[in-house]
Amino acid sequence: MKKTIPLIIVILGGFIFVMYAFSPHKLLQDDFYNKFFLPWTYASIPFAALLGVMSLSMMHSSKIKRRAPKWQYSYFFFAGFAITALAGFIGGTQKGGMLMWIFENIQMPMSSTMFSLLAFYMASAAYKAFRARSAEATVLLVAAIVVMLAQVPLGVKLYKDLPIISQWILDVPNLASKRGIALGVGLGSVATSLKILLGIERSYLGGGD
Amino acid sequence: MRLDKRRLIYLLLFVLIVFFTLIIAQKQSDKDRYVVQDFRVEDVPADDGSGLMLSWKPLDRSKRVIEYRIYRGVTPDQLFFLDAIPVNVKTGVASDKMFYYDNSGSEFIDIASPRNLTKEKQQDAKSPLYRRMPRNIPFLATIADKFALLSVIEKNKYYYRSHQIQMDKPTEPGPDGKIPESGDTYAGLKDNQQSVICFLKPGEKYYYTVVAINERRQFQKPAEVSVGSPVPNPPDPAIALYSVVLADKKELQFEWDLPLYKDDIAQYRIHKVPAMGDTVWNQMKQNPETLQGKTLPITQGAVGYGSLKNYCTVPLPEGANLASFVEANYSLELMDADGFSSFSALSTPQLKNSADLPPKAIFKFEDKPNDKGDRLTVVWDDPICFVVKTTALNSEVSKLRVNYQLNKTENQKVHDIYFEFYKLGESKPFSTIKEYYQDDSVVLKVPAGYDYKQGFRVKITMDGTPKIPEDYMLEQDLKYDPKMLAIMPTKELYRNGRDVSTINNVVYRKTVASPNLSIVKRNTSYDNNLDVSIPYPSMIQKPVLGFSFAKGDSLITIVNGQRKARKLKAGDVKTPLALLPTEIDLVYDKKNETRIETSIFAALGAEMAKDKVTQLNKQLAELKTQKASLIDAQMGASLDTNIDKVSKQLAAYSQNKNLLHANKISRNRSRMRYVASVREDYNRYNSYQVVKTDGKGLFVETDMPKEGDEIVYKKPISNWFDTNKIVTLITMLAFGILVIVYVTLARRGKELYIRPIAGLQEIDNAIGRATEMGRPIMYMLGHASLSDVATIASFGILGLVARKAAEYDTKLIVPVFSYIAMPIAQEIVREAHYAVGRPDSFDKNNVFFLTDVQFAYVAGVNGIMIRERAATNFFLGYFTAEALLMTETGNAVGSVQIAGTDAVTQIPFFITTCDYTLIGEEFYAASAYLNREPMQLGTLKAQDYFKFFVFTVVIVGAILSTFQITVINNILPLK
Repeated sequence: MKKTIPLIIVILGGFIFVMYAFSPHKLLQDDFYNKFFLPWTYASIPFAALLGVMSLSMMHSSKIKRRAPKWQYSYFFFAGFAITALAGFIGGTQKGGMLMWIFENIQMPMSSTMFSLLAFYMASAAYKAFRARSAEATVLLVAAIVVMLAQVPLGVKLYKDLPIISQWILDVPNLASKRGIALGVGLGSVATSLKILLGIERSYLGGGD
Repeated sequence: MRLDKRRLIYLLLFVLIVFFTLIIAQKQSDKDRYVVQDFRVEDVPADDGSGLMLSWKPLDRSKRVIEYRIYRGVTPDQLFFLDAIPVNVKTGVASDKMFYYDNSGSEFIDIASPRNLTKEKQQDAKSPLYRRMPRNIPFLATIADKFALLSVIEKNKYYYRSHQIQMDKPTEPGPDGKIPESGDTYAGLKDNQQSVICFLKPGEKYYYTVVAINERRQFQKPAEVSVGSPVPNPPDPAIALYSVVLADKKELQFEWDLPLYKDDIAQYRIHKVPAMGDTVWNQMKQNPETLQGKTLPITQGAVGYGSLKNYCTVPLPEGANLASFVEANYSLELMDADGFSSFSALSTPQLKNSADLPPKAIFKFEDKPNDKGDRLTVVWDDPICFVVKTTALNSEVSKLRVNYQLNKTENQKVHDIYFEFYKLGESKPFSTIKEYYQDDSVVLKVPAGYDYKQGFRVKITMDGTPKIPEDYMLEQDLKYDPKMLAIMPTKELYRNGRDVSTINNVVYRKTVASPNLSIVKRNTSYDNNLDVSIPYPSMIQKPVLGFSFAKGDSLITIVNGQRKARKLKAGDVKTPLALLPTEIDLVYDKKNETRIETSIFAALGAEMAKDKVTQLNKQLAELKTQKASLIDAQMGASLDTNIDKVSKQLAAYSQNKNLLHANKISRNRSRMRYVASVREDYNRYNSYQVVKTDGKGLFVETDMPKEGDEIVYKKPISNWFDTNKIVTLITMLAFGILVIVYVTLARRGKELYIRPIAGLQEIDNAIGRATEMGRPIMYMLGHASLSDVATIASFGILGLVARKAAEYDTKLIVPVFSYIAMPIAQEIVREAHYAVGRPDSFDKNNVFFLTDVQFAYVAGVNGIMIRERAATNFFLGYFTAEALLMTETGNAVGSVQIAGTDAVTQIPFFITTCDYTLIGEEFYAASAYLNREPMQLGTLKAQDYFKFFVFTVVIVGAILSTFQITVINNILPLK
């Protein structure tokens, strides 16, 4: 029973969404989706978020209790959580308030720092990819050099048709392989959806019968 | 550096100091608060007396203002927040003055308003500034008479949740001199069931101030409170009046442009004025009394506040001298609802003939296919195709890419487009291109030796369904544009040899109940159709007539400014309510040309119909008596018209089937359901008219579509199936059948070969490695939620990995990005532990929600990876920019990494930094591959065969297209 009822709900919901995709009727587009599905989704999100916060709090409190390695860092979680929540509750969420100040001056710079690291990681990944150890890697290296050079004025100065070659690489071999992968992904996702609809794929239901 | 107890205390101390410094900085009182200068409140000119204009000098950029907040009140000591004007803090305001127009509705009762009277932030006890007007009906009732109020209600709340509020029997006689038998009835709605909008009333006093807010959200000092009172003004004169005398038809045609503010212009009148100079006319029109006897009104009509027709036709009187109309001047008088009027400048007519008029449009209107039933399409022409730009494909400009646009309806199919390109001045085309597949561009080869800067002419013809006339041809000139450095089309568009670029196609709409047509949209001749939106009704607007609420043991009602109080009785509604009319339109009786109204309350509705019949019978009898005593034939004719009108109303109210049926239903809810179904249906019927005009008096309107004598009205239909998706549906069904066939075959024991996938074969080894090293495994589900198929595919693999990890007693850490996916991941891992008989080793704190902020998630995962020194990492799901940051860290830690994703952009990064990568579909196949369940393997096999089918279609389609056979292209949907 624990699995059967959710399974029925999923299959029924799945078929309604198949109908939603193919039917523009008001009953499905407005009455079902806009007036029923979306409000229920919005209503259930805060409860799911609460579960997430509880999970994180339990994990950190258990770390502190067990004195797990680096347990002291868990206090930072609680401190950050409390300060941010208080800033939002007391000062409001609008611009100029404490919460937005924390967001703009602490979270945004930290996120930007993480994102900027990507440039260095990319360089390191590129180095690994472009080492001409085989014929395929050499082709990759040459193609990458052409595409990169075509993006900068120096490349055009060296050879005026470089942007055309670069665009051809991007539009023909690159796009062909991307579309090949996209086709496989598309079919794979349709197959997975079908498996869910037919009740073959049940992993999302978790365990227990 | 170890984080021991002493260092931790220092660190916490530091954090606390920073925190309190921030709070002190926020709270620090400012020494120089800025005041907005030169604040004024003035009446809005040329309006109906419902608008005030606020102006002030904005503060300097250095003051770092982020917004100006406007406050309004009906007394100077209580001003409520009205609106905020955001300002770019970096650039400030460039102009010397800022303006705000308080001439549209503002919130009076709104769900976002505070419950009670609340002072604005950072204000002391003496400050007059308050937040929005409170959602408190007893308070609002005291100031309600200063505004005109309109309630906007979700229709079902008005239909089904309204309280029936019956006033006490009046003690004083009504306008007819008799004391009514019962008090009025209202529909009462609570403050949270509606939004009430307020408008300024002419003659009332309103107080305003403006406050600047800086980027630290500090309120500066308010400007000195100013008072203003809106007054009705004469409308602005029409911007232009165009007049045309059609000599052969003996008609005058007028067309005009209304002024910018036209919301109160009700009527127009056209005057014939003797020829005179502009100066004399300008002096005369300042004193309309002087015009009497000098101008001759020749026609008049309704303007409908700018929504009705802006043109008219006046036939010349029989035997009139044409020259006197050609030599005369004309002026348009615009009259507003308050009795003010204004005269336009004089217009001298053009003398034209019918041949100069644009051709009458042959139009039709039809339901728009494949929609939810909220659009009708008005079509007035065959498909229109025109060139939009050209681009040189090489430096010699020997080849041009010509981009074109094809405008057509969904029901119009164009098979082929033929482009003929001519050199300038030549009649033989140098290039003819058949566009058999419409991709919005063709490639033109410029003839050798021809100077492309001389330009070209292009003739465009088409064949399609419904049949496009063979002589239908569009032409354009393509000329060199030195600014664009390209060959561009000129603005002229020739349709069968006639330039139509200056002709507009104006669509007008008529509803069943309305006697007039109202404008929908003015379209250019580059369009051939218009989708008119006819939304399903969702809101109802009603004027607010009063309020009722309980105070102590009394029930207070305030209606039309009169306050009454009486002792509360049983059954009285104590909740504060806004009182609205109960009347609602039911249907338009076409036969009797009468709009029938009823009440939303059953008993009242039946009584209303009965009273109306009695009243109309009485009125009819009175009219008939009057007629019998009349001698004057002209007055008799006027009475006949009235008798006919009243008879029709009587017939409608006593015989209309919908009204009779509605009044038979006694339960409020059932009756209202019926009333709603009738009224919402008839309101969606529309008819249309298309007017072709040059905007300067030369116009031709189409006839209203009719069947016999009746105007044809249509309503949009909600379609059950989107026919554009038929191929998708068939393909999906075919795929589904293929899946079922292979699942059945697999169940029957047929051996299905699946090619080995290295990444999946290595999963066991990777888990084994972690076990041997005594280090944990990390599993990342990606940053999508449950709505992404990749996450669900990843769950399948997580179950298998968790089972192996539980078997080997290896710690599995799953930091989850989506809190919705988190409980499912926990359940999957828990089930895996139970399945292998190791429930004791399951720790739900190892499967936890980390964060749903992309780079914070990366920081968290990387931290865990480094601290726990994970031996094996799985990245299976949907990833974006965070992928490389995590896998590189894993690489640095020395973990074995297996990745799989359907995000094409991340696959190269995974290939470079991970040991094994599942590319696209391999990722979806993983669950089946690892489980080896026949059902799952069947779907995998079906997927492979279907892919083969798709490739076959692609190859066949490509070959056929090469030979201009586009059957496959046309079958397959574009999106």
